[in-house]
Amino acid sequence: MNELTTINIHEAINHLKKKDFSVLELIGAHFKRIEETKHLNAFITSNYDKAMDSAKKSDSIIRENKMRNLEGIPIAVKDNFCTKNIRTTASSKILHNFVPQYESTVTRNMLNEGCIITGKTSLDEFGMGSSNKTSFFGKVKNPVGKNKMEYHVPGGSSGGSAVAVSSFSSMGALGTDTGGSIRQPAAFCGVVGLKPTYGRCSRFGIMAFASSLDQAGSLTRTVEDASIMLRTMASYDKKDSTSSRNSLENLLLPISEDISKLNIGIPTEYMKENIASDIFNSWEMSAKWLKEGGANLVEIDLPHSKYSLSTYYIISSAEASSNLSRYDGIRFGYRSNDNNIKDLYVNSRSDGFGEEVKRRIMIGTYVLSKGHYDSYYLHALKVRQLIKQDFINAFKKVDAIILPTTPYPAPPLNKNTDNPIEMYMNDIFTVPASLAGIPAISLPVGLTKDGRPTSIQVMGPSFKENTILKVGKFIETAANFSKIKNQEKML
Amino acid sequence: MTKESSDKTNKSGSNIGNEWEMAIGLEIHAQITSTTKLFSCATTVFGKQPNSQVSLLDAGFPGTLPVINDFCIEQAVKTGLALNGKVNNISNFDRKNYFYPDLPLGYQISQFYNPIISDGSVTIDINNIKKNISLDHIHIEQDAGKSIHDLHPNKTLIDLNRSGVPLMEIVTKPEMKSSEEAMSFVKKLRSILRYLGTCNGNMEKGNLRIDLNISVNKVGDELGTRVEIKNLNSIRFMNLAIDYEVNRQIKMLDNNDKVQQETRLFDPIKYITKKMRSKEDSQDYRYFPDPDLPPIILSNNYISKVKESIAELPDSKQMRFMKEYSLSKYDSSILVSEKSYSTYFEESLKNNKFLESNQSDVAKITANLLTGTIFSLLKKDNMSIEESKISEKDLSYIVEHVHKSEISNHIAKGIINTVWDTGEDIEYSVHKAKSEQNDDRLEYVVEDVLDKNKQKVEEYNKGKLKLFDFFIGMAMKNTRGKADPVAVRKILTKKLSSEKYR
Amino acid sequence: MNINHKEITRCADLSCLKFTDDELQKLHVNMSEIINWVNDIKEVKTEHIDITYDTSITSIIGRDDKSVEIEDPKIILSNSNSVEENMFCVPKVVNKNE
Repeated sequence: MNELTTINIHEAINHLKKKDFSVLELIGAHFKRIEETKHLNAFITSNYDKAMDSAKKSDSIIRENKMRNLEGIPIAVKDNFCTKNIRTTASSKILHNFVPQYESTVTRNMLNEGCIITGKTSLDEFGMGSSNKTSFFGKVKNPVGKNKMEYHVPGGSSGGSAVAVSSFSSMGALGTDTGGSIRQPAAFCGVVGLKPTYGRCSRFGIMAFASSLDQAGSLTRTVEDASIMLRTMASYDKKDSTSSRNSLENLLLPISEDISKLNIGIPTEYMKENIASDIFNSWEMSAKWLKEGGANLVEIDLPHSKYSLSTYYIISSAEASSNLSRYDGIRFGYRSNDNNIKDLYVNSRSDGFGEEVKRRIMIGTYVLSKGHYDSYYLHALKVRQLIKQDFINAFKKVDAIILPTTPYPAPPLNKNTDNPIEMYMNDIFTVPASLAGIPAISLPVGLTKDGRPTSIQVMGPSFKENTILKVGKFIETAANFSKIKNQEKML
Repeated sequence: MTKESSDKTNKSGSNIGNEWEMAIGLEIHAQITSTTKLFSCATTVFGKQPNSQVSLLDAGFPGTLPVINDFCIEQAVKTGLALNGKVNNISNFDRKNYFYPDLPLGYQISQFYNPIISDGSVTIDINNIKKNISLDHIHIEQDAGKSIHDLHPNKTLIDLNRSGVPLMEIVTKPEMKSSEEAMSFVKKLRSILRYLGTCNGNMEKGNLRIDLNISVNKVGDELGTRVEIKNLNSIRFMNLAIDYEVNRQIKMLDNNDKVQQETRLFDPIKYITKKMRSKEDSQDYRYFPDPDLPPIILSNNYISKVKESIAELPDSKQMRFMKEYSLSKYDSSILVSEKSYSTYFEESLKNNKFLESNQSDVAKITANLLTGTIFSLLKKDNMSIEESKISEKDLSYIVEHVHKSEISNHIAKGIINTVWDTGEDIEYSVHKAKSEQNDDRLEYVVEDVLDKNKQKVEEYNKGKLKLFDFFIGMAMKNTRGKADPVAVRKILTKKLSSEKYR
Repeated sequence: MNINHKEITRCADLSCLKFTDDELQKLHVNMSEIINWVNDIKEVKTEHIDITYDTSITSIIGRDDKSVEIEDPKIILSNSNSVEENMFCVPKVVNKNE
């Protein structure tokens, strides 16, 4: 690990401007680090050749003083973003050889600002999971904790991206968050995970899991970096009918940390949940820092929050069951060797999809089927309205809400969770923001006694990313996590 | 008709043999006249090389998303208004989920819970009796691609050019009681759609397809179990399917068998319907609102604007023709059956200098020559009216002369035929005929003078040669001085030396 | 409450998936548990809620009826394993489901 890989995006941009080192050196150092950490299995596909080419081009651009916003910055991309001519698999057997001939809007935006894609990262298959154990390409390992002999769960579905950033093999990474898929792995790995407002970033080119919930976001080591990436990722895209025309308020960089006079909500319902004591303490600490910084703490009610998980699993499974119907091996992807059309469909899909994906498709089919649509799916849509309304009401009283990101820190990797519900319970604090479509950021604030990160989540009203970044940055400074992390010499 | 039909089918009434009656509901799939597809920017052009009009979305590639074509919404609203339907201010798209190789997404984007148009009606006219056929609703949806089963012995080939093409599905209530009514409905609907320009109604090209729902019941009883016959692409096939199906169902019920609710296909060679092997009834489409598409919210302002853009429709045009031009119901119905006919007709009238002074005469002559002669020629040469060799102006020129009695209707027909077949100059043709007719008339005028002045003729024949000038004078007077004196002289000379007057 | 075994096979049919007996057994257990777990939403009263009219939703935004030239028509076919005469191939479909 060298200096070039431990700096942040913000710092790197400054160094590159001052020509302290070249892009080629920067990218080279990162590939070296990727190689060093390959046992973590964070990456599926390396983009070495094209990345080195781009690095040279970036260096010329810098020499000509035409530096773009993210010129030369190495970014890892979750493997559910279609990247033109780079294999994109969704960590699934059914797409293990798929090479898209088109680019997702978010990666296009990033490339247009000069960033360099180093590789595609592993995820839970099609984004379904919170452990990155369901990837066709094998489990991803999270190297946190004092015991270097034991790996932990990186979280999911953006486990690969989170590990890439936390292990310094990437400066920043793209992820997607449907029910917590950026925030939860960020929490388990000790990095910053940002899920913007639904509609802020285009979904064009992202392999859909649950259309009304999916949102592109970032994994970075600092809040500042998250806002730098957001500025480039976000755009109104007419190719996406759910894309928002709401322009990104001028993200003033650096972000101010003045949180005095802000009202910060503490949701009372969640205090009753089963939360690991270290995480509960981090929550309390964060609240205390905010109060000391001049903010007002306000207890708020989110009366329908207890139905969030059910609502989420019904809606996301239903949408997924339909979104995954296009995978039949006929026009692209894995195709079974069958001489009968029905077998072709059934075998391509049954062989091509993993267990969790098939389970979610089945649940989704069930809740949409005749006799169940009204009481499950339609009903869930209505409950979702109520959950949204809870937040609208809360934000009349407060500017932001803080709560834990996960109920417990990263469990050991080899702990067997055969029970899907246990896995789904991971998302208890993250799904509400997904259902309401509001922005949320997770940031690491401390470590457990055995060296696993604890994280806090900040949620804000729709399109008010500025507010959550501000509060996040404040907490980040107060926590000084990077210092704690370095002291622990996690790696 | 084939041996499959029996005489239980009474074509002219709603009762089949007085014991049974049928109930027909139709689902018409009408392709919207847009340049591009419903959600993708690929074109809708017919007949191109396979898979050349396919966007990534039409092929269901991962990460692709639908974006609605505003023009299609407008056409659906226009159609709904013209069919007396209610335009819903809020409607949305739903996914209809099922697997089939020509359905790349594994679902069709359609409307199920909240269609864009509710209700509506179409008035049909059978033997001078008007009947209102109610619509249940109209919705917008995507078409699927094409599966080709007969190019390869053990493979089916898929062409996705048609995948995503925009359709309006117009659904009627089961109020039609005979194949005549069904046929009349389809014709009327087609005419309205063509008038609006929202659908070309070309059944051969597949841009109007019919799904038929039909049941039979004993007169006085409730409606029977309905059977669906899918994908009829001509009115003739629809009629044959109705006839066959009605007989099939009656036979079953007569034998105390139950009619199964099922989907069948029409065999265009054997003229029978066959059950589709896939169990349509066991399908569960799991409709749910498409999360990729926000609802369609239409303001009353928008709806009014679209309403204003609707030009006169066939029924009102027909009434106006009957009133304004004193045309018969029959003549006016032919003229309004296609918008292009009525446009041609009125353009021709506009160019006629006698329109104001004698509207009904001009209109009648024009209508007569158009529907009688010109239409036959168009049919003979398989041309559309836009390709007519006689222009609107040409026709009004001819009509002017007929109106002035300078040429007869009969002669006018001849002129049209000649000009059509030989390309002869129309003014020349009319002038030639005029003078020929003048000569004929002149002969008549002269004879008339001679007949009315028998005594003077006798005197002339006895030697009073001065009377020759008298006869000329009278003839000139009778033609109000318009006759050519040289011609009159010539004819008079001829007549006076003829057997009749010597 | 256990989900009816017939319903599970029906869901598998509808979603074109197949399972071994063991997998079905496991699925039966999992699905029943999950459906039971989400049943709590039934307690919520929602009669007053109309999902089609959510004031925060803005209307669909469409596009003009202008065609965009297909860059390279071969792209559509290039990811498939089975193409003949510019068309996708599948084993003969006997059911005429059009």
